[in-house]
Amino acid sequence: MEPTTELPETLPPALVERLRRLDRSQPIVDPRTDRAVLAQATEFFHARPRRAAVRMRWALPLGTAAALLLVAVLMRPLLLDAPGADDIDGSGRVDILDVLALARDRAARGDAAGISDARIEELAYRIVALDSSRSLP
Amino acid sequence: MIDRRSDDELVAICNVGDAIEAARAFETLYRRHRDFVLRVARRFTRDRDLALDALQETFTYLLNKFPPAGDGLTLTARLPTLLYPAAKNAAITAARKARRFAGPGDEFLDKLPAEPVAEGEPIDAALDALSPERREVLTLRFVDDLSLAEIAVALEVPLGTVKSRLPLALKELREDSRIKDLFEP
Repeated sequence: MEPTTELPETLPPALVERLRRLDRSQPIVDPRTDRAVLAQATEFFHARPRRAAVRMRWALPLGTAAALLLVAVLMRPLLLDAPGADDIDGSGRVDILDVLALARDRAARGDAAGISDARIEELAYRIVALDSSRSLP
Repeated sequence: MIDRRSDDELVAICNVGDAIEAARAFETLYRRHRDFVLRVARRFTRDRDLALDALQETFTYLLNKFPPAGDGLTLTARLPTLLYPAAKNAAITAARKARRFAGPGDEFLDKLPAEPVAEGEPIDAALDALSPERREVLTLRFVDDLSLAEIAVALEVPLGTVKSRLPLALKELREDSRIKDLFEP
């Protein structure tokens, strides 16, 4: 904050000097008080490392849990889209041949196969979408 | 070695620093403002030991602003403006306690003047004639070099009050016949 200078604040130097001298005439520095205040401060602030230690004790488990959660989130598409359910022809991979296998199965068994058009289209769409994301050789 | 970090920086360390850093930062704050607090305490106690008690009390108050005791301190004005009311209250409390527990023969404590008057010193007599409120504003302005806004914060009064008290104090001094010659160019 800068001193405000809106008012004409003037005091004769002799008066200012006298005021200062009255106020500061007797230095009363006391080493015992210094030691007492600073010892109290040291004791006070040493209450904090304990809190930090508590935080540190939980830091490792919390960090591990966070890392596991992150891995789970990142792996989710792979886990949920495991080839088992869509690998119709049992080749170990999901590709357009699985769509054909699904279509053939439906054509052969009809409604008894329990395969809807929507199911075939959905699988075909996903495979095409996956293929289009790959870079061409 | 002089610690050149600002009060704001030191306060921030006291808020969140580790024990050693925070204690060192507090020590710097203490050494930087100790004399000011002592001066204020002496103004209201007129006694060395009581002023020292008030000094300790004031820095205990400051300490308790920091975690884990307090929520943390954010300086919205210079630190002396925060310390001033704490020092003043601690000094007044210490003086009252001393009076309460004064034994026989300690009656002089009740008779202590607000400020000692040196006989034959017209300047002292003129200053002594000021009301405590006007003298307080005058001292904060010309001895402690606080701005009017800072004085308002320190005294916990509106700025307008300070703006009226200071000119009134100056006017009173100017019109005091004992020191009139000091104001003549």
